Amino acid sequence: MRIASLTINGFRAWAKEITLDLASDAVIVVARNGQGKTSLFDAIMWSLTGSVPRLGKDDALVSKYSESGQAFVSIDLENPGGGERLQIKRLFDGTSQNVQVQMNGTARTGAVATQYILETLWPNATAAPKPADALLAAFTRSIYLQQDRVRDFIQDEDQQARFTAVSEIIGTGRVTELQLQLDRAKTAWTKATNERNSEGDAARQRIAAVREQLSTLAAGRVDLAELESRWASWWRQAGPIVKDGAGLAAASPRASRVLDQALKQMYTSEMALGRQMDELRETLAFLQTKSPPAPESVPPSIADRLKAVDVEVENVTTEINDLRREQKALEAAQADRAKAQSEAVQLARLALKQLAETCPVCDQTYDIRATRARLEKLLKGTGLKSSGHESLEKRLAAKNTSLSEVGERRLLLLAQQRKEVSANESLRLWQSERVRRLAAFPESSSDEDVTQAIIAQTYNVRESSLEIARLRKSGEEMALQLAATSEAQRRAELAQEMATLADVIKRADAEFEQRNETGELAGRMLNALRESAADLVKDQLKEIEPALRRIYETCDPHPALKAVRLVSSMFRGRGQLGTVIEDPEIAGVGSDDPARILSSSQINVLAVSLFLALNLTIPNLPLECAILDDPIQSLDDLNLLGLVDVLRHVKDHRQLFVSTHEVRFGALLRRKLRPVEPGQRTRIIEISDWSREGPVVTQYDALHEATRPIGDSMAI
Amino acid sequence: MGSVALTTTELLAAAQSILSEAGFEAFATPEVGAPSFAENARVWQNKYSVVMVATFETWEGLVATWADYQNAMVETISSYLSKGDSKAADGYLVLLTPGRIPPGDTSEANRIRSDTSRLRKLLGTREDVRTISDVRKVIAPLLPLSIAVGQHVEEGSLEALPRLLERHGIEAAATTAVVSAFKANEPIMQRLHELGHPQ
Repeated sequence: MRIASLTINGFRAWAKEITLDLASDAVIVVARNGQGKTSLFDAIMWSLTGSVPRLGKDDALVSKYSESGQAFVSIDLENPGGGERLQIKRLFDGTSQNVQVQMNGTARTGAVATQYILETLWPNATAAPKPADALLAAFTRSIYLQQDRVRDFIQDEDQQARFTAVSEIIGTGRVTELQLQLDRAKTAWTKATNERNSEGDAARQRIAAVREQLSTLAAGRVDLAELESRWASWWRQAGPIVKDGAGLAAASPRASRVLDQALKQMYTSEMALGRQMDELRETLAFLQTKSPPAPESVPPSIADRLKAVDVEVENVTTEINDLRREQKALEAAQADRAKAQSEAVQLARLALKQLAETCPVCDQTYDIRATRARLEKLLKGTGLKSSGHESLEKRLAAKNTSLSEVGERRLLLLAQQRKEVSANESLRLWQSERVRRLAAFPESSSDEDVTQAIIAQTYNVRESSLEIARLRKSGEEMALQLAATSEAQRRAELAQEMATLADVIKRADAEFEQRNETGELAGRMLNALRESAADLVKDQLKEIEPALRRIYETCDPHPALKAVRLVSSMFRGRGQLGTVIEDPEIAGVGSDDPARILSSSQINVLAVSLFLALNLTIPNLPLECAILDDPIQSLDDLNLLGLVDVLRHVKDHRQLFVSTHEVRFGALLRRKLRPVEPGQRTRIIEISDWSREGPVVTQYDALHEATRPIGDSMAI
Repeated sequence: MGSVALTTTELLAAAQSILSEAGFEAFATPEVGAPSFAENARVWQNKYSVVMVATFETWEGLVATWADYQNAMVETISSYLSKGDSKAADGYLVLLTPGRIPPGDTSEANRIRSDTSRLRKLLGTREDVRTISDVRKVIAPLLPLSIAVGQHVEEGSLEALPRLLERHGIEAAATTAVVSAFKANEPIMQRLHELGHPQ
C-alpha cells in the first residue's frame, strides 16, 4: 500500500490541522531545520505504529500549541491499483491513545483496530512476542530512515544486532514460533511415546509371568474321549453309592469338585463298613465268652452280719460314752478337791506362819502341836486322791479295745459286701450285652445260628468295603486325569494368551518404532528449523547484497573501495551480519568495519545504500514506501549527486518521501524526481516558515517534463 | 595487471550497447540524421538525462582535453535547460581510457571525479575498465536499478520452509504437513506421524 493523504492536528510542530495530499510517486519536503520535516514523517510512523521511540512517551507528541491539547493524525493508505482506502485515525488525548481503522465501510477501534493494522500491514508481526514492536522495527529498518538513525545500522550496531534486525524484517518470527511449538509438541510426543511403550512393558512382564506359569504346568496330552468313557463307567459303578455326579460329563467345569465330593462320600461309607465289620467281629468274640460267676452266698448274709456288728458297735460305744461321762464327773470332783487342797495348803502355810499360843481369830487356846502336825500334813497334800479313778481308766481302755475289734470286723464285712455287689454287676452287664448283641439277629435262635449269621454278614461287609476301596482308587486316578485335563486346558489358554501378548508387543514395538521415527524426524526438523531462520536471512541477504552493491556503486562514494558485500555467519547459534567494503582491484584491501575507513559522508552513503537495499528487496513490506528524512546531512556534492541518481531509480519502485533542509538539494530533487511519463506525479511540500500555528506550507505538483531531444549539433 | 586492455573503440561500443539496452537513445539531429561529434565521443539521452561518453587513448590525453568535452556538452544541454536549472541534474560526462593513471596522479583523477560544478563526471581508467562489465559499473548511476525489487509474494517465511529444510534432508511433504498443522492450530506431531505412517 501507499500513502494517499495525511491529516495532522496538534502533533509536534504541526499545531493546527492540515491535510497533505500525498497521493504521488514522490514527495519532496523542503524546509529549514526545525520547521516540521521530521515531525511530518514522525506523524506517518505514529499513525501506523502508535509509537515514536525516539520521543519516548506520547506526552511528547502533543504540540505545545495544540488547540485541543491533543495529538491527532489521520492517514489514508491506498493500493497502487486503486480500490478503497484504508484510513487509520490515531488520537492521543493527553492520557491515552485511541486508534480507529476504517476499511470497506467498517470501523474498528481499540485492540481490534490495532490487530487489523498488523494483519493488513505486517502479518509477520502477529507471530512476534511483541507484535507492535515488530511492526515498529520493520518500519524503522526498511521504510523510514530517520535522520538521526542513518548510520546506526553501519556504525553503532554490532553484527548480531544487524542480523537480528534483518531477521525481524523478513519475518522469521513465525518460524521461531513454529520451532517453539514443534519443540513443545515433540516433548509431549516423546512423553506419550514412552508411556505407550510402558504399556508394551506391561505386556512383556505379563508374557514372562505366563511363561513362568507354563513352566510349572506338566506337559503331556490327555485323551478326553478315554476320560469321558472312564468317567461314565466309574459313575455307573459308583451310582449305588454316590449319585450327585450321574449324568455329568468329565469335561464339565464341575467334574473335579463333584468327583472330590463323591470320593469323600465313599470314604465315609468305607469307614462305616469298617466299623460295622468291627462290630460283627466283637459280637462273634462276645458269643465265645462265658458268663461271669455269681457271688457265693452263706447265711447269715453279709447284710445281717453287718447289722449285728453295727449293734455291737453301738453297744460298745454306748458303754464307752457312759464311762467317759463317769470319767468326766470323776475328774470334776478331783478338780474340786485339788482346789480345796490348794486352798488348804495356802491356809496351812499362812496358819503355820501365824501359829501362836492363841488363835489369832478367836483368841482361844488350842493344841498347837496337833495343829502344827495337822497343818504340816495339809502342806504335804496327803489324803486327797480318789481310789476309783484308776479303775475307771482300766475299764475305759478295755471298752476301747472291744470297740476296735468290732470295727475291724465291720470293715471286713463291708469289703465282702462290695465284692459281692461287683460280681453281681458284672453278671448283669454281660447279660445285658448279650441281649443287645443277640437282638441284631432276631431270626437266629441259637448262638450257633447267630455265629453263622455274623460270619455271612462279615463277608458281605468286607466285599462292599473292598468295592468302595477299588472305586476310590479308580476315582483318585480319574481325579488326577481331570487335573491333568484342567492343566492342559490352562496350558492351552496360557499359550493363547502368550500368542495374543506377543502380538500386542509386536504391534506396540512397531508403533513405538514408528513414533520414534516421527520423533526423530521432528528432532531433525527442529535442528533444521534452528538454522532455517538463519537460512531465510541468508537467502534474503543474497537478494539484498546485489542491490546493495548496485546502489553503492551508483552512489560511487569512494574512488577505490568501490565494492561492498554482506558477510553473514553463525556464532554460538546466533547470526552475525557484517558489512565489508573492498578495493576490487587489489585483493585483500578493504575493511569489515567501514566506519573506521570511510568518511562521515561516505558512511552516510553506505548506510542509505543498505537501507534502500533492504527497502527494495524485502518482499511484503508494510508499505511500498521509502521515507528518508534529510539524508544529505554531511554529504558532499559527489555523494549527493550519486544519491539523487539512486533515488530517481528508487522512485520507479517505491513511493518515495525525501526531505531536505537545503533549498539547492530540494531543487535538484524536484528536477531529478520530476514526472516524465503520463500518470506520474511528484508532490512538493515547501515549508517556508513556522509560527505558533504550525508550519507555513505550500503544496504543489512538480512539472511534468521530459528532456527535450537535443537538436543542436555539437562539434568538438 | 597483465590483461589486455579494451581499446577506445571497444570502450565506446560497450558504453553504447549498455546505454541502448537501458533505454537511452543516440542523439540525432533532424537535419543531419547522424551524430557529428568527434570520433571518440557519442551522446545519448533519455527522459531524464543527456549523456556524453568520451574515450581517450591515454590518461594524459584525457586530462588534457576532458574539459573541452564538458564545455561542448554544457552548451548542448543549455539549449533545453532553463537558466536556473543545474546542468549537473541532467548532464553526465563519461570519460573512459584504457590508459593507466601514473603513480602520483591519483589526485587528479579524484579531482575530476569530484568536480560536480557543471556536469557529473563518471571516470573509468585502465584500472577500472578492463572488461565490458567494468564499463557497466562506471556508468551504473545512469542505469536503472537492475535489482530484483521485492514485491508482494504469497510465499512468507513459513511457506519458504519446505524449500529451506530440503537442504537439510527434510522432505518437503513433511515440512508442509508441519507448517499446515501449525497454521491450522492442529496437533503438529500427529499430522507429521500420519504423513509417514498412514493408518
